[in-house]
Amino acid sequence: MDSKTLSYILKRIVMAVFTLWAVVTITFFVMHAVPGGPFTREKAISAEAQAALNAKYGLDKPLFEQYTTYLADAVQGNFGPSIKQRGRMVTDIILDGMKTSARIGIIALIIATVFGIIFGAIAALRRNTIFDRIIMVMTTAFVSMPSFIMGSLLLILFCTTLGWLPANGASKGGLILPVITLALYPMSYITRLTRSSMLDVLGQDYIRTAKAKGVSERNVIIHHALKNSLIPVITYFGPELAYIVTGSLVVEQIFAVPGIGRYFVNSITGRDYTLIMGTTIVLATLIVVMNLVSDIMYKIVDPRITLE
Amino acid sequence: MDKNPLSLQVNMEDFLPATDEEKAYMVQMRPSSTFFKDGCRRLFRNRVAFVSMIVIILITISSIILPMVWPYSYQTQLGVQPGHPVDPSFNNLAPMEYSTTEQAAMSRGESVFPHLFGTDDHGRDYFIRIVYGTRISLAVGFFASIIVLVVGMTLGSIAGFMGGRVDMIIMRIVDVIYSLPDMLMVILLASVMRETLGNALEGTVLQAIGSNIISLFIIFALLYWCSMARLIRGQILSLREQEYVLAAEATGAKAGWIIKKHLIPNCISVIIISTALQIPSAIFTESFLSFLGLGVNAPMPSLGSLASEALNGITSYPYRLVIPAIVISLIVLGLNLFGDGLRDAFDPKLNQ
Amino acid sequence: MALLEVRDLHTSFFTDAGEVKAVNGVSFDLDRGKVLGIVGESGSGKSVTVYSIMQILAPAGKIVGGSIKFDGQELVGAGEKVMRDIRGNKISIIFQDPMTSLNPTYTIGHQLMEAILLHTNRNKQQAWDRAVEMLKLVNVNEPEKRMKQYPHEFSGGMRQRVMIAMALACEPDILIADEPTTALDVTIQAQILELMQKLQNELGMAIIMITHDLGVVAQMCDEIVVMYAGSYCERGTADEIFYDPKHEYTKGLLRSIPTMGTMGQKLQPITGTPIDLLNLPKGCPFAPRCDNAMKVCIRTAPENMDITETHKASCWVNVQQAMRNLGNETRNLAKDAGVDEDKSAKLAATVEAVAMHDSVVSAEAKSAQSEVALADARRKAAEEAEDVIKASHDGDLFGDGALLGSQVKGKHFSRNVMKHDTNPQIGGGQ
Repeated sequence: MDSKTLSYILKRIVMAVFTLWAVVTITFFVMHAVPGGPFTREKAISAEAQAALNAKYGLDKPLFEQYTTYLADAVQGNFGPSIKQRGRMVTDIILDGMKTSARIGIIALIIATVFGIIFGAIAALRRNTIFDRIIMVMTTAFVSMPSFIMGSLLLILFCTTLGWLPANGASKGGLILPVITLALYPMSYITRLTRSSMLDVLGQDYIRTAKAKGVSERNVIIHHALKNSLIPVITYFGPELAYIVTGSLVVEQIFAVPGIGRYFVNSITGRDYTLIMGTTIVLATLIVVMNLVSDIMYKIVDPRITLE
Repeated sequence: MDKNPLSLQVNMEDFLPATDEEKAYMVQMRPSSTFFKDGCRRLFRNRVAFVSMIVIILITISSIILPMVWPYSYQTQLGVQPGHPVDPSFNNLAPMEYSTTEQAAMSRGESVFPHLFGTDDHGRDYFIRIVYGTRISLAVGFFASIIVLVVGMTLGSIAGFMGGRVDMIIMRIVDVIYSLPDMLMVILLASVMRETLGNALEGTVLQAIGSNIISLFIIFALLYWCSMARLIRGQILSLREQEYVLAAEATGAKAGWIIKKHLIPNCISVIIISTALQIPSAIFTESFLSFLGLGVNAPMPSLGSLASEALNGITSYPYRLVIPAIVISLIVLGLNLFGDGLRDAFDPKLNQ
Repeated sequence: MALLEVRDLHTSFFTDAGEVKAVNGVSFDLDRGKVLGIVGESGSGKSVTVYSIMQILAPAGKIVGGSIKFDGQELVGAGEKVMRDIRGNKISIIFQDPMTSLNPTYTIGHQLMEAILLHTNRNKQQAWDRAVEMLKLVNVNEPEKRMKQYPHEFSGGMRQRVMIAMALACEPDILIADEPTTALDVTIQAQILELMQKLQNELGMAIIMITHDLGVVAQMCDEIVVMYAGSYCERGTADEIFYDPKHEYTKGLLRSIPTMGTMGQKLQPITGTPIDLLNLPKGCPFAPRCDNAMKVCIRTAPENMDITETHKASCWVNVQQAMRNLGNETRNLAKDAGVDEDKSAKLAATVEAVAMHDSVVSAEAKSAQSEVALADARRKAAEEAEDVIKASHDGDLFGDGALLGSQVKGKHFSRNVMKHDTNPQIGGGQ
């Protein structure tokens, strides 16, 4: 790896750290900008009790001091106790939720990538045949439907009408639908990406050279076209994960899955400051890191770009 | 050779020199047309984009006109009339079903306009709520894109024209915003603004529109201007290069005129395409937020919030979810396909 | 029997704008060990001709008529299996742009060995040795080290050498070079040409050299075919073409070359622009730009006339000349036979006229005949090519740009796309 790539990587890492800091800061101050604290909604709390609670959680200190304290703690991985869920540390809640969410997310990711590439390749190679048409129609449909629509429709179809699968994510087999819902958009996206990229590659000169050397059609595709076609797919990995993260917010709502996405949404409406911060940071870190990895891989995988 | 050598069939003229007109007649080049005409031709030839355009236009027109002629309003709870006890027979009617009260009225000879999609659990006509929701979604999408366009163009132009440190600062900001996980930020900001703005707007004219929509616009203005800004900046940069080249050999006035001639096709087509593709994105985001409860205020319906409400009664009334789902998908899909058709037709770089 | 016999080749591309008649009736022979040059402007169909020989046309292209015989075997309609055996093995081709013609993600060693392993019985080690040997042959220094490098680490000239090495690795009978030096610097050009000549001497393969540079042709070629707008104009030995051109286009080409003798005089270009291959008119395609065009040139395509055994041209001027000669001969014969001056002249004129008329009629008949057969073949080929036509229509039924780039979640992709848009240096050649 040459120095140019190294410096690029370093720059991107610095950017990533800066972005994370920006996210934390923005979230912190935005959150505290909302009038009222976490306890104003709860009934029957006297003013003194409120003051005491605020003091306990350090909410009565000047804002900037709260901010710096929080930063210092967060860097060490301590996100403090949850304000709403008394007695639980934010870190624990997050880890708990991550278990489920990660399971769904990773499975969805694998399904989406593997099937996406396969379908995309089929569509490109059998261009304009019935296979291609079907694949294109379906991916078009999936790609324009918001995930909550997709999830809801699947819910209606498989739970209400057919009764094949349970609607609750916590029950047995209840994770199948959330996984499918999550996987559909990225799978369709990857299919189209692969198809598009492969068609692009197939028009390149070096494919003609390979053919002119006497390489069979099949080998031209598998050997020469596929490798080059997958470059954009690899670079999509970052955003793909970002999508899965945000998609899980919705999916977990619909299917009542006890995952980190649901905690995130609920913590916002419930104004559980520490939980909001914690989940935001964790999710944001995931996304930022994956984008970083993706950017770096893009540079490495395509040798032309590395040297330009 | 069995012809009479002196017959008139022999054409001696063949070997005379050809005239210029004859040569010109041979060569009928295809008439060249302007960039705009070419693009339009290509666009209309694209069947898919054309159909999408028609569908979008139909949807838009009906969302504008229908509420004006429809006998029901989106917020009137039909069973609730001041001074009378609540009549629950209006609630939860199936599509085309009539409530008992209405049936009684019909048997008396009054004509009752049918509820094409039934009613929701508050007795509101569902069809008109869908139409209204469409109107909101379309309007939000459209205006949000305009805002993005304005902000992006402004900042992009500034960055491009001023160059130097200003340019660098703006581009750094773009980089940071670009790398923010947008959905997270959007949700956060939306939920925050919903609280703060609501208070700030009380009593002002903007309250009618709804604090949530305003907050949506603000969020878009804050986060989504980056691509547009980059595009504009790129165009300006490349044109400045040309300007220096031209300035070297021509007078200033001539350079300006030439730039305008080149600026218009390139820049405008890029702007239009980018905006056209931004609209479905905005609608998508809005419905997403509405679904999570962070979108428009009740009772104003948005397709996303309608879907979210329908989720509760999903086992008994699945159609209440299916209908807004289909409508959203149609709109987003149609706009995407049309935008894509626009890009195929007008993007100067995609010349075959 | 010649090594390669091309007869009356017709190739068209079927696009949604119509049928582009890229090659209309080209014929030539290539003997073992000879160098044939195909000369013409851009768009004259030179490349399409050789792609037709190797059948590596784009999917929208089809051979609609004619025959191509390699070593006695008919290639048109021979099928993929036959062609695969020939490509890279018996006939090889090197392309104009070596940058894009090599796969950027494989080492050149890998790409060199690919053809060797495919067509010969060597094992991996032997293929490696052979590849290194080829690199040495084309004067690439440090061949073992180079084998492990990637194409973008090579300079333009070296890449072209690698292409040549790749093409010659299996000792083909014919090497086709499609404008091999056009994309290179002038000094590198000379090196490559020298290399090709040297290789030709050592290995003895036949070469088809496509170029628009007459200097290259003069340097290297034994025989020359001149093409214009997909039709063939003239062919003959290098001497015949350069010293005794018989087609107006060739004459124009040679006239336009500035020489020491014409120093100080105005340059003489060929006026006008090339013809539109979508709307190919009926007569001679060069007529609109020809100073000596006649009315018959506008109406009817000229027949191919033998001038010598090796020199043939399709130009009405030659026909006119031949008829005039016939007329003169007749007049002299008549005079010798005692017929008086006046009558002889009249007789000569008549004979001339009739002969010209006959030649026109015969040309028209021939072209009508071939048109019928061709029309049929074209229709069939168009039907076959329909899928490709549909595919070429804006690429996609459902368009990818919007669905991929617009949505919030697709930001990353469009971000990279935008990198390409605003900073054209990043992101590979266009």
